[in-house]
Parts: sequence; structure tokens; C-alpha cells
Amino acid sequence: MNFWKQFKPKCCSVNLKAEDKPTALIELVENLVKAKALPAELQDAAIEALVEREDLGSTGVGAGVAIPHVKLKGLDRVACSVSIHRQGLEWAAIDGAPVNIYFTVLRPERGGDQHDPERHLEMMTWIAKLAREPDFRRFAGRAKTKTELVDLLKEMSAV
Amino acid sequence: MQALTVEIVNPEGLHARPCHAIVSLALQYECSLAVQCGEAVADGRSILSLMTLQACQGSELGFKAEGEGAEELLRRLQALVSGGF
Repeated sequence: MNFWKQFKPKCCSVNLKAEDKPTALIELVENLVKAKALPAELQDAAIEALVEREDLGSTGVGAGVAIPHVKLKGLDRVACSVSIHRQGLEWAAIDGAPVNIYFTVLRPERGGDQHDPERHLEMMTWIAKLAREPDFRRFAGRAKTKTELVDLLKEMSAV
Repeated sequence: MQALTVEIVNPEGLHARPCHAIVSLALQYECSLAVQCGEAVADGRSILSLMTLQACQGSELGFKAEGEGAEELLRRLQALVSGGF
């Protein structure tokens, strides 16, 4: 699977600075905007959508992993990142544990040239399989650079 | 052991939020819960495990619960899944 190719190092972070869930969602979106993976005019809408999604139910899926993900009107291709928070943040995760690994996935509302909705479930499955691997979580938590983090996605995709 | 098979009716399939709903329900019971889709079997008490099933609309989910309240858990799961989560 080559889903790792959608994760550009410049969108990612190995040291999120946020102090809580709301500021983390803002930081995750800002990183996508700075990397030009998300148009700046969609920044506020993306943050709002992610907050609303968390209100429906935490995206903290357990084992220190969260997958903040939403559909976003006006987006024409998937914008995604993997990010690390060194200390971990309270996220109301299903297991109650703090979250330190974040897979952020913003996707278009509809399919198009740059987005195949049918592959979305496949991509989420790929993320879940990675996130279940204790080795992935351990190495991701220790990654020193964004490139190292994305390389880990590539390496672990082959396992 | 109690068992149940339900078809997924919601268009997006078994994505993260339905997985969260299943696990939240399962964790209310002192039961084991296995969820099968095709050949794959997942732990119904783990969102990450359920997400690996990649179950789309029209797929059949087989639930097997064992322990206290298993019957009630399956009844509530049937309502949850057939109601589109």
C-alpha cells in the first residue's frame, strides 16, 4: 500500500506544542496550511469541522493514538499528516489514555480527479493497522525529524 | 456464547465513528466480543482492531459475545448496526 506517499514531511510534526485538545486541533490544521496542503481560506472551516467531529465522539482510538478526520467542503484532494506530541494530551480517548500520535485526515466532500472516496476506508484501515503495531508507536514516539517519521510510515507499510 | 449477524446499512461502512459506537457499547459489559467480516475477525472492544475489518456498506458483520449480559449486548448491537449507527 502506498498511502504513506500522501503524508508529506512538511505537513507533519515531531513536536506539537499544543497544551490541550482545542489548541492541538488548531496546530494540526495550521501545519497543513503552512505546508500548503490545505488552502488558507479553508483553515477556519477545517478547525471548526474537527472540533465538531470531536464533539460527536472522541477520535482517540486507544493506545495513545487519535485520528482526527473530517470531510471538508471546498477541498479537492486529501490533506493529511502524522504528528507527535511528546508528553501526550488528554483526548477523551476510548481507553482514557493520553494521546501522543495524531493521524490527521481532511478529505473532499465528494470524489473527483484528485480523490477517490472508495479508497478512504482502505486508507483508514491502513492507518489502523499501523497504529496497532507497538513497534510503530514506539519508533514514532522517538522520531527526531519529520522525514524520519514519514520514512517510518513507508517502512512499516511493508510489514 | 451468543451470536448474531447484521448487515451494514450506512453508506460509509464501518468507519471510525461506528467503531467507536460499537466499542463504547461493548465496554459497558463484562463480555468478550468478536466481530467477523468475511475471513477477518476483530476484537469488538478495540476501535483499532475493528477498523482493520474494512467493512463497507452491504457487508455482513458476525458478532459473537460471551459473558455476563451477552444477549443484551447483541440485542443493542443489532439495533445500533441496523439503524445505521
